[in-house]
Amino acid sequence: MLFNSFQFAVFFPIVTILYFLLPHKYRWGLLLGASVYFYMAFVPSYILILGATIVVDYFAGIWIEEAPSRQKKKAYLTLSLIANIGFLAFFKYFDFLNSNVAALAGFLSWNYPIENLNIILPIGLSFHTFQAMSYTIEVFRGNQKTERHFGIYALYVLFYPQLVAGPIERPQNMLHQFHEEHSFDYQRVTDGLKLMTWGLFKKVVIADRLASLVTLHYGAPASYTGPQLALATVYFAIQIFCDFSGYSDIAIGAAQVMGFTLMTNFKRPYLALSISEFWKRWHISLSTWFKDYLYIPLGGNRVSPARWQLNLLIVFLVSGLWHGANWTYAIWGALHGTYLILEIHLQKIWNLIPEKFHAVHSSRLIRFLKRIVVLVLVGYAWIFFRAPSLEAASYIAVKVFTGWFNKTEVFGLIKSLSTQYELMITFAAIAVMEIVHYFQERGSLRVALAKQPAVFRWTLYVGILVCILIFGKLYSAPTDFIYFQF
Amino acid sequence: MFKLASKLLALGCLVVIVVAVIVKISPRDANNYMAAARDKHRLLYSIKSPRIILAGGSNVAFSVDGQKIAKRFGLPVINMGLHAGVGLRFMLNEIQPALKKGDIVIVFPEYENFSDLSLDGIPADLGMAIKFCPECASGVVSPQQAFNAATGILQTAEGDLLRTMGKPEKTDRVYIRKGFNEWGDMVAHLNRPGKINIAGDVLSVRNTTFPNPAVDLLNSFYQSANAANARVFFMFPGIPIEDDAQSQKKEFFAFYRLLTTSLEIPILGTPLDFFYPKKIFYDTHYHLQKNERAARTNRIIELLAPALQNNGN
Repeated sequence: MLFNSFQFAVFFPIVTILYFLLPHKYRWGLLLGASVYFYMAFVPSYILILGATIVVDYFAGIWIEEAPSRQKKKAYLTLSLIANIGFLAFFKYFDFLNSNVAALAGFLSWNYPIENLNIILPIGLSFHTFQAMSYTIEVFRGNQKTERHFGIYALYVLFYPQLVAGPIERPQNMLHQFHEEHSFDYQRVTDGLKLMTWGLFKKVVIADRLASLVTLHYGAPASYTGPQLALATVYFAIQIFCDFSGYSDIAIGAAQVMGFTLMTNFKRPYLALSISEFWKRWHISLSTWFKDYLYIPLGGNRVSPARWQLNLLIVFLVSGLWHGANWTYAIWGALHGTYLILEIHLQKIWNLIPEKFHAVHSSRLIRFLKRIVVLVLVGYAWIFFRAPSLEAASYIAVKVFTGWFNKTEVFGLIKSLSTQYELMITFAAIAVMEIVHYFQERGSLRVALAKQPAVFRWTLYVGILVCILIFGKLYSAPTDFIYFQF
Repeated sequence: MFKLASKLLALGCLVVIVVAVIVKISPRDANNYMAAARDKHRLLYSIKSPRIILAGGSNVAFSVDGQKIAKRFGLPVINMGLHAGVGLRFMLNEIQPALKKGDIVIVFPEYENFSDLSLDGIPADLGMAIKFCPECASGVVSPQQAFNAATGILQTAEGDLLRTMGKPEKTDRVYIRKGFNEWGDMVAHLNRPGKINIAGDVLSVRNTTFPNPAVDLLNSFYQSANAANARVFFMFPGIPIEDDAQSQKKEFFAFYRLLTTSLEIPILGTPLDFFYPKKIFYDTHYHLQKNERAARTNRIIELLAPALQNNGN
């Protein structure tokens, strides 16, 4: 079920009202049933995959806790990780690996008989697999007590607001919340609803409006000039942020309405002053997952400089492949890994700036320039994330550097923007989003709003809802959130 | 919880009011194709019975000559055909309250009405029809239709607002309100060359299942029309199937056989009466060009004449 569907508009209030009407001891059952229904609205049979990993991890958790020796605990953890990664590898990576082996065999003129399976990827598989893995890892590390209530554990993996695209939660943050009783709190509920509305605005008024333009350009890159493809990449950068942060806002808001606190997933990432800061602001739940469960176990930065840089590259390569079984995602990850390595090397020169130009360093201009550099680098990497194939990505990655000295083309592009009325609405919506983000950055938006007269607040709420209804891409078949495919 | 519910209700009402005001005051494209819904509705309620009413989607609008039928039978003809996207339920329910003794209705549903197309319409198309013709809302009788119409009106409100901002109209010389003549026939395409080259099988009825909800709807309409002492006939739309496409012909004939077992409305002719070579379609597989439109109309007249005589006319 998609958050931007009519089905969800009916599902959510029913589940929420029932949740508050039911006594606490029955609520887990309601949420579990609702979550199963929510997931089965996509492809019903895939619930079996989730069920299998839930059973394995539930018992693995108990066995890890009860195992008398560390060696045995490790064996049970390995069992759990193999099961989780095994499902992921089979459903997500089998065809990718098989195609590459077949291509290699073909290159070497070997006979390779294994065909691709062409399996449809279970929706959100990477997300709930990672969330399930964090449970057994944390139990193994002794940071989390085993959850003995099977239903509650299943709910930890299946909890519908964050089931298909995160935020990827940790058991320490989530499990105890299912045991706590959440009473109806007017302020919390309205805050959650506002966040959901805001997320929907970003998704249907900004992301979905830009999506068609991006698809047009990335679908036939040869028909467009370098500046046009660069502009389409900028659109994609905005689209993916609004799509994914919009999803996260709806997920966090929906959970908040019922009294659950999910972790923050985005903190205005395009304002980052460095690539490392970008990754502290973008998809935070995944970045911290990789940091805790891959980067640090690899040695993190407490190793030799060469190994440290290798660790960074490995983490980002894996992160790229986590997003999709395609070389384009691997290159996207590798690019970010390379940016970070370059950043380490440039850090010393970077740090020289405040020493020599102390007064200038803090100036807005320097911060602005840093942001531009980060935006250009991140934007360039998005080409590989969005392009449908490696060939298309390579073509666009080169083409975006051409055509900039052709004045007719560039001015023509600028002029065409002023006649695209649909785009003006999108730009206006982006401006609204930036204003809201500006206030969010300076403190609580809720507090700021509470200080305003009721007429102002209600005008704002009505305005946002009317914009969603009129300008939102709500009425044709609802579009998937980009991260659902992962 | 009561406080929240009352505030949400108030918010919802405010949103509905604001949206309604925006939709109401936004300038419309008076020459929009769907604005013809209003003209057709006016014809339906201004022309006195007995008359011949042609119902269906754009296969009726583009590919039937109502004027010629009127001349042949000496009765006024109203071509209500507009767009299949408004849904069969709307097409029939718009006509049904206006039926009087002596009226003759010929229903030409598109084949998609029996399979892929929702009986309750496509939101954008139904919404446009209602927006341009609020009085046509009499054709909206089911909750799903009301939902589709409401979302369709919202969906098209953006275009009206953009027009307010100065966005120029798209220039189209066929899909315009002025493209219809006084009988409700679309005539703007008649002297224009075809715009498509239909290749392959454009249409299939292989997956149509019986019992069929469209048939139930047609039967229900038939009973209401009978109660109003109006007569109803069913005919097939013209579609592109070449003479040598035997398997396709068999498929459509099988569909016809199944239809005869469940449809109460008398069927005039078979699908085979309305197959035409692919090259003579204007822009979709239901829109005939001038000569074939005339040929189809002649065939309709040939089939209708004895049927009317048999019923005492």
